[in-house]
Amino acid sequence: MTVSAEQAQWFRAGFTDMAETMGQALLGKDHVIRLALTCLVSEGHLLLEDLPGTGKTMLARSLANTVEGSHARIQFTPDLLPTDVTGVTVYDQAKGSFEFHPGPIFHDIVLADEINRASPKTQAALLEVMEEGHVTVDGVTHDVPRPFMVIATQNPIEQAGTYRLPEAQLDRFLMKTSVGYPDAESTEELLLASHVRDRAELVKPIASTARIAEMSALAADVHVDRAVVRYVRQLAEASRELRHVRLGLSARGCLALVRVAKTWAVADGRTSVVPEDVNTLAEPVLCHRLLLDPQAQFSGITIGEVIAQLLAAVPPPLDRD
Amino acid sequence: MPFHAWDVLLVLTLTMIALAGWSSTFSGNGWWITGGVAAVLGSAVATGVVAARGGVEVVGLALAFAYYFACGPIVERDLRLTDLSILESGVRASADAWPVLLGTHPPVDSSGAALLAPVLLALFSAGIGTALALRSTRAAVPLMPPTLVLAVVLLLAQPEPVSVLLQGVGFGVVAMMWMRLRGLRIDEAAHGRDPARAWRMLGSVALVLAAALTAAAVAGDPTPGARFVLSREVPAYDAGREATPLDSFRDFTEPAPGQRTPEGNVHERKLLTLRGAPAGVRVRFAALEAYDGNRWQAANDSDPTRDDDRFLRLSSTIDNPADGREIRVAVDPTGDYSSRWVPTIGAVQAFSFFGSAREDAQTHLRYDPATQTAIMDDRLEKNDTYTFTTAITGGLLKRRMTASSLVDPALREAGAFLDPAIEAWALGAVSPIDGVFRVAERLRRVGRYSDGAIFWQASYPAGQSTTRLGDGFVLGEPTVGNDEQYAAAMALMANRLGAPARVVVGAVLPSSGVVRGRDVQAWVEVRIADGSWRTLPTEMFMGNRPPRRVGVDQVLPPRAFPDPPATPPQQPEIEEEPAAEPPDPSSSASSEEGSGGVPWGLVLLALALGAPIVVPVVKGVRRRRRLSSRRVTMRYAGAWLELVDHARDLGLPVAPGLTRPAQARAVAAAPGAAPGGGAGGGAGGGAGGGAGGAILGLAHEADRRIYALDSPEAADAAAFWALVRAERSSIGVHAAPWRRAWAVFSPASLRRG
Repeated sequence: MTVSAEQAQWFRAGFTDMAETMGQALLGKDHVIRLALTCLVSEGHLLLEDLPGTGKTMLARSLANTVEGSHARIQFTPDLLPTDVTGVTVYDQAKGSFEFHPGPIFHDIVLADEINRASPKTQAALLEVMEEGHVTVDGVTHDVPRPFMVIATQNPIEQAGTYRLPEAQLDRFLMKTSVGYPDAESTEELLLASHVRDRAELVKPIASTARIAEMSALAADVHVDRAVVRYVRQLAEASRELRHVRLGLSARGCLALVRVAKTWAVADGRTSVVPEDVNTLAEPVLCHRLLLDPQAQFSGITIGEVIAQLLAAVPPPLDRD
Repeated sequence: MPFHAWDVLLVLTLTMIALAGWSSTFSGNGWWITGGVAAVLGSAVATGVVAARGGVEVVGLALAFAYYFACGPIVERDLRLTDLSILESGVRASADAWPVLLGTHPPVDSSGAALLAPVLLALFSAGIGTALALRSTRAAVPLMPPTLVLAVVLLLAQPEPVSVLLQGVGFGVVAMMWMRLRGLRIDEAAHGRDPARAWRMLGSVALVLAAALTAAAVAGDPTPGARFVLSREVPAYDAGREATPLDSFRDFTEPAPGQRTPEGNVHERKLLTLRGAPAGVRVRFAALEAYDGNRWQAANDSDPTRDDDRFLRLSSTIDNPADGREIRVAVDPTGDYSSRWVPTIGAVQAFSFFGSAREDAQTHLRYDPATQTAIMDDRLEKNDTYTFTTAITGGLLKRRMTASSLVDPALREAGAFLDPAIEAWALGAVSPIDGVFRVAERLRRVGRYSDGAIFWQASYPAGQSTTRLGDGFVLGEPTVGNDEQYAAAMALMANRLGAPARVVVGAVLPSSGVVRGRDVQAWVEVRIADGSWRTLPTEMFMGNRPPRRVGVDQVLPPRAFPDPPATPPQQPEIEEEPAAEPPDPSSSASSEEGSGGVPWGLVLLALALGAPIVVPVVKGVRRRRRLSSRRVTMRYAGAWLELVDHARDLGLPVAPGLTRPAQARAVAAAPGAAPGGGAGGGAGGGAGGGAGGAILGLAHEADRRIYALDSPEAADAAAFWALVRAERSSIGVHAAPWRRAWAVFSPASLRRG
């Protein structure tokens, strides 16, 4: 199966509509919005890390509001238990049997707010669902709905009372990105409309879950030339040999990069992936997967600089295979 | 004789009441006075003939003679009967009077042929009525001519009656009273004077008044348009069959490609000069309300709420109610304006040709108040200067407005082929107008504006057919067209969304008051709930960017972009290739040792003289190799490398290891790279502004072609090379002249391999 030009145009139109709708809530953040939507359509999970008040939760809520599906929000706290996330089996005296009460994880889009505040045990429960797509409680497996997306947020500056997500589990997130401060024009526009108490409420659902599933299926069929695949492989190999990098790009990371590149390409109305797609998406896909050595961290080298070095070190292919 | 005097008086009264039905059909009082004089004349002729013991048929003959001698002077406005040609013109005008009356927007001027209608009816009603009243012994017979005239007047008048009270109740009361009076007198003539005559008359008056009041109360105000009128049955001028300015839009907008202007092209020509109109006002050429699958066209009877939505003749004034500032405009068309459509502004209230215009120009004019457009049934000639008073109406469409529900089902159905785009683009719209704005914004964003004639562009055909607007425009990639396609598609999509819309061709008046071909636009008007039409300005739905230069899917035929020549003239001879190899210093040294001495001076001289030749030759060989690569995708890659290498030779910093779009951005961002540099772009890959955007567009196109599943065609690659060559010359246009000269000999790009 390949994607036709008409299908690509249809995809682009739908994708742009959703991005514009979300843009009503999050002013001047088109790129981040497109990244979040790419994550959704690629059937991945998104980790948002940024300073307080930059719009992480707003982005997550507006994304959830854009889709006509169920969504829930879990505020992670140190005393949150795994069963508060997954659900619990209770004994029904009247029926004389155990009954499963699903937790908030059983929704299409789940906003896990301040995920690093929960205990590792609770985090592990969530990450297990993200990876496997089902929950096992008391030996019984319960599937989560499709599409299923977790948008997690975390605050990088509050370290007290937080539990850092393990690197291996960070891999479960397809992308990690930050929202950042709005530009001057967007800030002024935001202030002028200060009477709008909740901008996320401006976003109305415009895409059904069925449509998202259809778009996901279409994105999966986007053509990737072997030369581009080789480029991704070379990037992965180079990442493992880069100075200051302790943990390079895994095979799962490579798969993730190709997957989102496909969605990114068709969202631009194209039927095939080009190296530019890979480069554009390298940072959000790789930044939480590459692990810097302590010396680099001590020297103040950022992951963004390392990824830039990586991209400069591996020239993109000149021609198709 | 008193008895006869009453009869004559009442016949005249009934005649004038019947004629009063035309008071909204004619303008001024001339028709009324002329009709009154004709009625008096008719009665006088009848009285005279009856006094001479002539019968009704003799009266008819006498009236015919009277009309024959009167109609010429009335039409010619000259009561002196100087020659027989005046009588002939009167007879001819008698035939024209009725079409003019039926085919002219009210009020009709009280002059010319139209004036003969009240004259003829008044003569007939008063003359025959008087003759019958004087001769007949039956009470009701004299009522027949005025009643017949009343029926004719109502049939020929405008749909809205002047006065139900006057024409219905008034005429009925007078007619019944006269009939009763005549009946009593006839009875008395046969049986002697009735002693209770006064009481009988009073009783009759009371009865008639009661009946009249009841009728007036029951009749009320009739619904406009509900009454049968003959003017609605007469075919209006069929403007739909005429070519519209939209059909030949490129004659207005497309710049002439060279020094020689093609026939019909008026891009730079002066079309009109308007005096009295404020700058920025929209001058309307044509409003198109019907779509047949091939083209938008004008139409009659397109507005179900109006009776006057037809192209009819226009007198000097028109009953065209409109709110808005009233202005008086004079228009001087030039010979280059060759359309039948008469440019106007707003809702015209009065119109007249003047100056050197043809005498009969007004008779060729047709106007449709519903679309506020006018057309000549022959053509608008160079000297047909005209002036009109008009009310500036309309305004811009706002998103919060509510669309009218009066969507033409045929138009709605006609746009069904655009559903894929409409459904995607208007997704989430909360109202038809909101949908229109969403679609307009999207169309503006994805679309590119071009007449498709510039040499490096693809050939984008003209036309408004479903194929051109569908697969060739809205649903196609790229979406490229000019006003013709944009407005035609936008109006169809608006109708499909439930907002009644039409296409209007005209111009936004420049401050100079001179409209040239390049000022002509096509915009869309949408009808809102209050019945008014609001403008969706062109900038809301037209992409103002030119298309990417790489429209390889739709490149001009191969003759425009020929395959790469086997040995391009600018290519160096292949035998010269070894000369490009740099000298090996070590071998030189060893040879020096072996030979016992090298003439260094000669070597340096050779290098100094050879370098200017070697570098261009090597570049030429490299270019040829890229151009003729066996793999077509490699030709794309080679073309792009050629562009980047040229930038490097110009000294622009293009780092290695970048993707093509990143290289394009680096080139565009470099100082002195190109006018209006700035790559723009982003994920959307849209071309930015100026040459920088064009370079980025080339980079995206190269990537798209190279990594697509299907292998591109050789002709496409050749076209891409042509585009690259064109773009190559724009890089470094702001660089110093010495820099550009040095670029030919610079080995910078060779060093990077």
